[in-house]
Amino acid sequence: MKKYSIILLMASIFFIGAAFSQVYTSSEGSIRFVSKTDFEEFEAVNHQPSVAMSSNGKVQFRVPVNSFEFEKKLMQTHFQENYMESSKFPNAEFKGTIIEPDNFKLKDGKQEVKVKGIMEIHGVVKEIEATGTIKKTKNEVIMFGNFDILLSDYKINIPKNNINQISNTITIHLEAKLEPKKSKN
Amino acid sequence: MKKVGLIILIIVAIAIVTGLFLWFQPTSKVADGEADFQISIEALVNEGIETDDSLFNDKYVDKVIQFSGDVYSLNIGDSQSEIQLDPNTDETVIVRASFDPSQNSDLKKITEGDSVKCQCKFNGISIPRDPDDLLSEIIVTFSRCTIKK
Repeated sequence: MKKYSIILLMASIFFIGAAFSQVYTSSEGSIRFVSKTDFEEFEAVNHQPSVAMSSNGKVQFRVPVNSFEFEKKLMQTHFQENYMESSKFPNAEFKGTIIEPDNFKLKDGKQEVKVKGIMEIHGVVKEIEATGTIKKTKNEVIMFGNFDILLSDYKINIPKNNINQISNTITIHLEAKLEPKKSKN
Repeated sequence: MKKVGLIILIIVAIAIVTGLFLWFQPTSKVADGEADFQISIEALVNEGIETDDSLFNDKYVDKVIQFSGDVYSLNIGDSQSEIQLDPNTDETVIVRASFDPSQNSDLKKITEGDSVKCQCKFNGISIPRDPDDLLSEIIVTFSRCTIKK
């Protein structure tokens, strides 16, 4: 009987802990991608990623594709209309969990992390892993992440005459400042 | 013969100049000019929920939209500024409007709680589909915004 009580108590603590894990959402952030070939290097930046993480290691970000800003208008038009088909797939999204360190718990200070989850770009979902850094102070969490994706994995076709200008491997840099999620009311 | 050569040369020169102009044309920083739509956030969100995604996106995404709301939070930065608006509809809707730093002088006149009218490029709406989503709000995003008097 005592044994069952202990199990019940532990289960209650686990579920209460899970239910009350603190969620942090971004107040500022950017996501930047870089394409680099022997002939051309270019980047685009997006200042509107919505990023969230929970204190027990769940991570999510959602990015409006049309918010990527390029230096050249023509590049932006091609990116939105021809490659990303943003009117069909207006958002890219990642949902995952911190797998390293094991049993991640958000704590003050800097932690190197590995995240595993599902990335959806251009209507295609794919499992990815990424490394990053999470730095927590009393009132905020700063998140950095870097990872590569292959355009071919997401059925983003580069026309043959642009193969020298656009790399199939795109490096993505994410940076976000998060604060405890607050209610609007 | 000489005349034909000259015409071809002029056509080629025009094509090169046009090509270079299009290639080097910088991205616009502000959605100025005439708005394509004047619509309330409530109406936009309701249409986004009720209409087929591709029809909704074809109609509104990348278009210039004028809308109003109360400023919920304000963040003025050197590379990008953003205000979040409370559309006075539902607590699960967040409206994010980003501004080029060239608009900071207008933003500095605003404080949280003010009612503002914005004109922006509409980048889309994201509606959470999974009850486990950490991002549980409907997020409406705009960029290249200006404050309209």
